[in-house]
Amino acid sequence: MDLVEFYTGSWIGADRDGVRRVLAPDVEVDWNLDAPVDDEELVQSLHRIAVFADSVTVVSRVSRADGAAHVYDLAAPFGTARMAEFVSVHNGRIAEIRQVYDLVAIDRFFPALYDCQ
Amino acid sequence: MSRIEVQLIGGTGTEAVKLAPVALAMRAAGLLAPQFTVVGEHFRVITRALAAFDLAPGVTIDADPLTDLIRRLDMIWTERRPAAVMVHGDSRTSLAAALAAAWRKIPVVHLYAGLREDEFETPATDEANGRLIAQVATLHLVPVPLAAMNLIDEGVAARSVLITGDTGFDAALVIASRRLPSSRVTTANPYADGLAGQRAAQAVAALLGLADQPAPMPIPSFTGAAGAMRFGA
Repeated sequence: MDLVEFYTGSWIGADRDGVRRVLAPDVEVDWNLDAPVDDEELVQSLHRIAVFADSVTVVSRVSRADGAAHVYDLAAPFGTARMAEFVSVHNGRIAEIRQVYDLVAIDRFFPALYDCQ
Repeated sequence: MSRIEVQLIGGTGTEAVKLAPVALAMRAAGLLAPQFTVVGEHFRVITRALAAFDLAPGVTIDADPLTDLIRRLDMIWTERRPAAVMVHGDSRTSLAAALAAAWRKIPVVHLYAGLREDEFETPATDEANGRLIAQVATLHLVPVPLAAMNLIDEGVAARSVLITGDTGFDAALVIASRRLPSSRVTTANPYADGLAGQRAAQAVAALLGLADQPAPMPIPSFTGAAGAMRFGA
């Protein structure tokens, strides 16, 4: 199992320590949610999604030597939101993560994602 | 000096027809080199549609599913990186191209952006594609003011939204002028003035630092909110 696959499996499986283990200490994180983000906030938000969602499906994964692009379907009890993610790998750790959420669907189907912060 | 390449991605005849006036306007302005990339099974239809505008596909990709298309576009752009990528509407082809470009940090220009019908049944609807494209696009070109308001409601910055009008009408004008030179085409649609392609082309040039921002499209006063809708100024 490669590094990015391990990261994906870890967060979908609500394994926060697994996610932390593959992130570089100076990992750059960016997302389009209306909240500041750093590595720990990313870990906690992914955990909240994984716990709240009925299922998380990787609908697309494209890998290249220095990273991967994912599209996820995040199925909540009342509907599904989509998220795209771009992951960069450097020196055997994840060096950059950019996440792009369908904000309208996230606000509608994952209302607790912000309230828990 | 070679002109800067902008790739226009189309997967259907409709997309090709609506992108064609933008490509023609880019050519006419002489600042950008539009390159059509045709995706999927409708190659012949698209080629025929483009031929009506004296355009031709530069790249063709026989891939449809999201993953394959992102992979193929990423490979192409590894070798030949455009300055910007233009996608049309809310198709899966457009989503794949927008995500592949965003992955490479290539600016995404979204033509026919912001049209919504409040579809939430599944994440695979065109509208869900459009909402995600809106989040990765750098420039949003919309045909009508309501589409601009939809995008702003979704958190898109107003300064990145421009009401261009309907490039479909531009396309109709081009075809009519070639086939029936003495004809006169009119429409009651106030967002069809025949200049949408020019505005879109100039907006892309401005995004790349090659031109000034285009003047915003005049909003008819009957909309009742003309003053509040002059985005992109």
